[in-house]
Amino acid sequence: MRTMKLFGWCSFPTWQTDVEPILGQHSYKQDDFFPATAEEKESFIEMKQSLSYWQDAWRRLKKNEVAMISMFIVIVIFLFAFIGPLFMENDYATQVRGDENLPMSWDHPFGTDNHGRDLMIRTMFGARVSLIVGIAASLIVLVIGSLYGAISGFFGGKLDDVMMRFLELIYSVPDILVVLLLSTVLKDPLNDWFNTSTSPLVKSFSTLGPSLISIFIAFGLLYWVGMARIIRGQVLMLKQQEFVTAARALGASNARLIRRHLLPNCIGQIIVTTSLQIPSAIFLESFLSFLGLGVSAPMTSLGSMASDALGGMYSYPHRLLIPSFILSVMILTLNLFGDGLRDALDPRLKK
Amino acid sequence: MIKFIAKRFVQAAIILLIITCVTFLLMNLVPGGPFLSEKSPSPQVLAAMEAKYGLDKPLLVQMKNYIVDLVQGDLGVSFKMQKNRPVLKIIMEMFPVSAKIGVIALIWAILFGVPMGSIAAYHRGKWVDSVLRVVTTLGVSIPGFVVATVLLILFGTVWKVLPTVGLLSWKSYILPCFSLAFYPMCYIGRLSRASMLDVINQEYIRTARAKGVSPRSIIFKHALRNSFIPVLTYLGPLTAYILTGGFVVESVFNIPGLGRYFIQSILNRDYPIIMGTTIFLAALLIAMNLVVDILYKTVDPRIDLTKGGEGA
Amino acid sequence: MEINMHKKLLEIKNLHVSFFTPAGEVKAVGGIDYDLYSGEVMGIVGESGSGKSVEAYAIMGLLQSPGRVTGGSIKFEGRDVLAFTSKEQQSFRGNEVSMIFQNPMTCLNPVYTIGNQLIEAVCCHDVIPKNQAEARAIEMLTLVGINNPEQRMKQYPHELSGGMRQRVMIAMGLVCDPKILIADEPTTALDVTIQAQIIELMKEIQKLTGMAIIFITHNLGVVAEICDKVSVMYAGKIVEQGCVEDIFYKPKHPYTLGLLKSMPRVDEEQHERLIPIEGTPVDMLNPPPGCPFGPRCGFCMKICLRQEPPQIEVGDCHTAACWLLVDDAEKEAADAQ
Repeated sequence: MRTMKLFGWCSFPTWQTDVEPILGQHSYKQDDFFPATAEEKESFIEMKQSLSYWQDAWRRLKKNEVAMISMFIVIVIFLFAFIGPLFMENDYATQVRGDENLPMSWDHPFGTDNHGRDLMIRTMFGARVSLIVGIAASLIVLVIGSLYGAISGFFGGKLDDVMMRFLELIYSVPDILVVLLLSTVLKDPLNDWFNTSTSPLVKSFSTLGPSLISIFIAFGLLYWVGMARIIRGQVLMLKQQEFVTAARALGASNARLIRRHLLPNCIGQIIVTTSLQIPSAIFLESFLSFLGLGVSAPMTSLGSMASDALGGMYSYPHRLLIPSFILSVMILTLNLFGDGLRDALDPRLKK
Repeated sequence: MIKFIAKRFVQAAIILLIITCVTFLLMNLVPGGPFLSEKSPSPQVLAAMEAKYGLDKPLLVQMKNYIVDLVQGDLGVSFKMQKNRPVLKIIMEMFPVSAKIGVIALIWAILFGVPMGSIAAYHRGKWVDSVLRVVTTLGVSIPGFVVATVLLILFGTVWKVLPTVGLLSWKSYILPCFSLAFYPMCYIGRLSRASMLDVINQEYIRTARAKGVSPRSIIFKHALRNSFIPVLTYLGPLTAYILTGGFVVESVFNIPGLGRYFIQSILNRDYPIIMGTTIFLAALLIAMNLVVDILYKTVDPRIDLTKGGEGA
Repeated sequence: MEINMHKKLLEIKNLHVSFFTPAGEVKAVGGIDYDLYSGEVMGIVGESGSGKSVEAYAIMGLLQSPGRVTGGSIKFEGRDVLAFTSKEQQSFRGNEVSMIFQNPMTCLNPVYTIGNQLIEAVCCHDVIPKNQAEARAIEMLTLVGINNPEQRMKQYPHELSGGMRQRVMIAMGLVCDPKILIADEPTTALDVTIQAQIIELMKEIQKLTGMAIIFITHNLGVVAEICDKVSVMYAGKIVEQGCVEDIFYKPKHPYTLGLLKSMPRVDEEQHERLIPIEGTPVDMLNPPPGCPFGPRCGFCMKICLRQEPPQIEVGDCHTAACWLLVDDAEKEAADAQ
């Protein structure tokens, strides 16, 4: 038994062991038992290239085939709705005498309706209305919901209590009933306003009609609750994290805390929630339009087109099926894309 | 527990009161009152009608009268659709039809949705899961009216196996109930798949496995009850969906229920019916939320009901 | 007790466990061997991700997809654990070998009472009347030092403190009188004072019942407290194995040494600084060839980065896997080759 002065702080007894069978199996190089250099050791530690949050998210999103295909389809629908009408001769309201109830043909790919209006262009406009409603309503939700949630979560205490109570109250109000009620009640006053006002903004509202305005109002009044809850939860969680405490201890102002620390950490959640709000807003709009409470004629939306087609659905099923199909695909792809976005932006959520 | 229920009951009553007041005030926002929308009646007739319906009194007095009547079960009378018939009577006549379809759809959605989600989660990554995922993802993306109308076209013109209009035999319930249940069923399926996956990765499931509990008992005893909690949360919105989805389904399938009637009354602007039905449906939803809260406690002991508000 | 003392309960040979992730195969356990005799308390020490829990899951058959045993054998009293049918496995778990886990907060089902879960543990192995199972459960709760056991039985997990829940977990592990108890970091999630109580409790129970314990931890202090034998794991391999004295007083592997040096000691006269182990653990997805500890090792040689070191016997029941331990003379012989 010998002593190996290896580690400096203590002596190691080494045992004479029979290493022949072990060593015998191997062949050794000359310098095998010389110390390895630092570089050699380094070379074994693989450093992963670090990516920024957005690069990383984009990389994950690109890998997600379903999300990418959905994104592509969404873009196609956007082009169809916003660029498509530029290539069409007629307007959505143009009625051509003698062209009533045409089947699908080269001139009218989706046929015409009983007023002689080309259904292709109407579908384009319908899709446009659905998309606009979806995006606008989501933006309303985004602004109100995230502000409300952030304020409630950030300041906490009594204010938070009061704000949460109010939120609970709103949450228990049946939303669709409110939309229906508003659209009934606001119809006349809004129509009056449309007719008397000359501002171009109001004019563009009037093409959409009072029911859609009430949808927006309802979103502003009721639908931000979910967003507010999510943001509040996120802010509450972040507030307790060490880096926020550290920033606060370093004397960061509230504004700086929100700007530098809370917002960047919430942004993923906000984007995901907003993107998933769009299809649900489209869903609601189509529901109301189908019940005859949507856009005012002659403007149309996919839901109203389906509703209009209901009368002749056995003779002209395509009039019902085409807008329904486009609507379903639109909601489906937006949902799938939103899901993909969530997986990409918040990898922690993905198991 | 009793204290909690009482507290929630009071809360619900207050919310209902607020909703009633807001509804009443909104309805009176209509310029010139509910009669003006029709071809303008002569001032004498208008005055007579206003006196008859108590519309000449100040707004707050009207509201007070309305609420007092409401508590006594008087929701006023219809102006147009069934002139002078009490609204409550109309509701009571229409509602059972809607309720039947709604309850069947509700049960259908839960009874199929939860197993669908659990099976998908159990066979995660296998073909069953993929098929169910496609179906449920489609299901939550196709609006109810699309399902209803497509079924109508298929069964009305192509297959002709099931009746598509009215409610004559048990067979005529299948299509409306399915259209109504399809979306929530798929939603519940997704919800319970996600929550089942979450639950079976929980440590207490591992504990149960380490104890030697059989796989069957792990799923049915340990996992299902925990994974049902998020589904329970969805019951409130689900009821709301079934109620409003009923509007569409009843219209498409021509079913003489409250939903279709409500939409017609909106289109015809029969204000007392709109108001009465709104309050009735709101009350129903709030009652359902109360039931869900109580169910919650029985399934999840962690929720401390005495604290009110949201559970832990 | 004495008769049982040297009965071999568990024999693990060349066990390999891999996780097949989308990014590739992660060899969480790469060939470990050990034996466990009845009445023995064995510690498995290593940092997070070293495969110590995974190895325990393999014994219990708790590995879940994408994890899988890819090689080697586990024998319990001569029976091949890996070949068990699911029925056999059920009666094996909890009855022969039971396991308690790190986080008592999340290990009990929140929607059932303590009593319900304890009784379930009894009833899935023995067909006995419910009141007997209940009596057994209460007895166990008393054993683990819970007062008012009858009342506790009716409580839900969230109504108990962390230390209490861990006691309940231990009671649940003991309720079927298993031969081996695997404790997977049972004290890590607890307060220091509670930790000491739980360790004390486990020591007492071990003396009382004479069962064998596999104690998985990253805390060397706990090991010194309770274990007879220690295996030190690094990157899925046992780098050093020996009785507790060997490991603490005659560590052979630089990693063990590093662990000991990074542990605060109160009995030391001179105030030595704690020396952390530099670097980070290897990427288990693409493990480098050679000794996994090589890149972090202060005594790393060229061969260490090229070839995996063999297990070398350095004493009675004391082995370590390190090239440094290959005798100088033999090295010269190797050089000559």
